[in-house]
Amino acid sequence: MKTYRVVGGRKVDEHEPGTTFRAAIEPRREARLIRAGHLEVVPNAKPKKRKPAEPGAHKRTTEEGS
Amino acid sequence: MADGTFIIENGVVVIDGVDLSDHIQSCEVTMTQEDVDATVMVAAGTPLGTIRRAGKRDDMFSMTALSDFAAGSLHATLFPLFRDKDVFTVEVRAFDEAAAVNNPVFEGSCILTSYAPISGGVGELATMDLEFPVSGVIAERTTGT
Repeated sequence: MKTYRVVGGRKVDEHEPGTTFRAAIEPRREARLIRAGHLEVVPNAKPKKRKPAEPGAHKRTTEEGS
Repeated sequence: MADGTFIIENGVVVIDGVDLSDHIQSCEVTMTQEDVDATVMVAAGTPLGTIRRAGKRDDMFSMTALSDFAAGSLHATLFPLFRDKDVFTVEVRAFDEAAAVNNPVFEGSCILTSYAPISGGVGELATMDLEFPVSGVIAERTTGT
């Protein structure tokens, strides 16, 4: 599964130009769509490190929600 | 009685997943099947008529498109399909809306057996006649996008 951006002026697989989507496109078709100027592969962004949850964070949320 | 007749205005033609509707002037979805003669001997005095069976399907999408060599347009999409002998999907629907019983999507896996990127005379709009023979049969879908 990769992330693609629709770079041409035409919808690709129902996705509007300028939008990104994740899909498993068969390699031969992927190469075809990229060469034709319809798609580009969006490099996978590195996942952000999550901050460890602060002690008592859950409690505060509960209080806010109550 | 509900009248479902319509004038083609905002039909959708998608080739290899790419919406090329804005370059399609006309489109035809054709499904045919062989007429197989299954005639057998008849008893004397019985009129001899042809007995028929429906045989092999031979489906096709045909369309007239406006020639365009711009990046990301018709030629860039179609010529690789012809050159590389690829099998790809073609989808046609009458309205630019989700598939439904009253807006069926006709789709099939196709090949492009001939390609004439330039056709027309002086002063005419350059067009190309396209035929997409279907490998297998055209399917009708009435749900989904």
